[in-house]
Amino acid sequence: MRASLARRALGGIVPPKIATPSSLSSGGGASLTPLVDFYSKLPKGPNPVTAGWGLKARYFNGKNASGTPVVLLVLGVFGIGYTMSYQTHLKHHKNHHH
Amino acid sequence: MFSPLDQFETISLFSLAAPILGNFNIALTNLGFYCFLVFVIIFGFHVISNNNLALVPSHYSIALESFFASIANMVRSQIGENKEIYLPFVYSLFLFILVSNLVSNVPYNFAVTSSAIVCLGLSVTIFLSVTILALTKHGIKFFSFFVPSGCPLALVPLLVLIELISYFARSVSLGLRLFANIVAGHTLLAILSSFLIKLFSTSILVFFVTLIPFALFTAIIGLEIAVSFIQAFVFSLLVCSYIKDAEYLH
Repeated sequence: MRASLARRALGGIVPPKIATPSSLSSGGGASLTPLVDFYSKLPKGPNPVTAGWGLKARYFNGKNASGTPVVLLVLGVFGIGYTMSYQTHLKHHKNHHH
Repeated sequence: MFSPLDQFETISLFSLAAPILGNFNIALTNLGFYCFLVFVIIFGFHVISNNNLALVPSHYSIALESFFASIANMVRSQIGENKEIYLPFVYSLFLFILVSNLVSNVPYNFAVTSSAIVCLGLSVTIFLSVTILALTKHGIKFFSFFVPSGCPLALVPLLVLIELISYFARSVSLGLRLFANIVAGHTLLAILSSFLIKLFSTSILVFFVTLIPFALFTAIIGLEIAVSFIQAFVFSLLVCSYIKDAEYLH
């Protein structure tokens, strides 16, 4: 396996090297500035409740995301398909089966 | 239904004939309608599942991001780390095939990918564009693609012929694979369901006995859903592989 391939495959599980013993013991903590900058800019507190319009806020956003829209979509597609099949040929064969 | 193949028929739902402009006829067929439906489903899900761009994703945005990450990973590993310019194309191709296959698994619905003209149209277009890409990128050197490296000179005419045939076969095989898998699966389901409905409506005893083959039938539906994913994945993977061949020749 090539080195780049191995790095890519393991990239998800090997954490980035952001603090080493030498950088921590060197005193001053100046080398940790990028780290402090990064974490200080992250939003704090609980996950804000995302607002949205009607159905989107009710079925899709944040913790409200549920499988209901997928079920409704499948039912809707079934309805469309049945209507089209009925109108194009099923109604012509209604009283005599093949 | 007369025959299990009736479901693949393209029917005109709405047409506009204007003989004043020659034999001018615009028709909305079930094929066109389902292409539009697939587009609306894909586009709708992407718009509605963005979770208002919040930092913490919802289940829907995680699902879409997973699809995107899988395809991005495939493009990077197949074509190359710096070739993400092909990612939007492969991603849209994958989702189009996947959603059309999944929509066709809902009973009474038309399968867009069971249309030979859609599948072969896609594969021939991709084949032509990949060939044009390779010709613009490598010029005359593109033809070295048909000569395997290190082959003896005496064998070159034969090998070039074989390579040329196999290269042109790609244009058909890519679409035919998808088309044949979807048509075979849907035909099988139509035949089995026509047997099952006859058995179910025979008598009450046979009704209960038929629950056993019905369980098998349900398993085959599960298999068809798996085929929908696998075929979409295989199609995108092969497109990536063809683009890689055009980019690097060997």
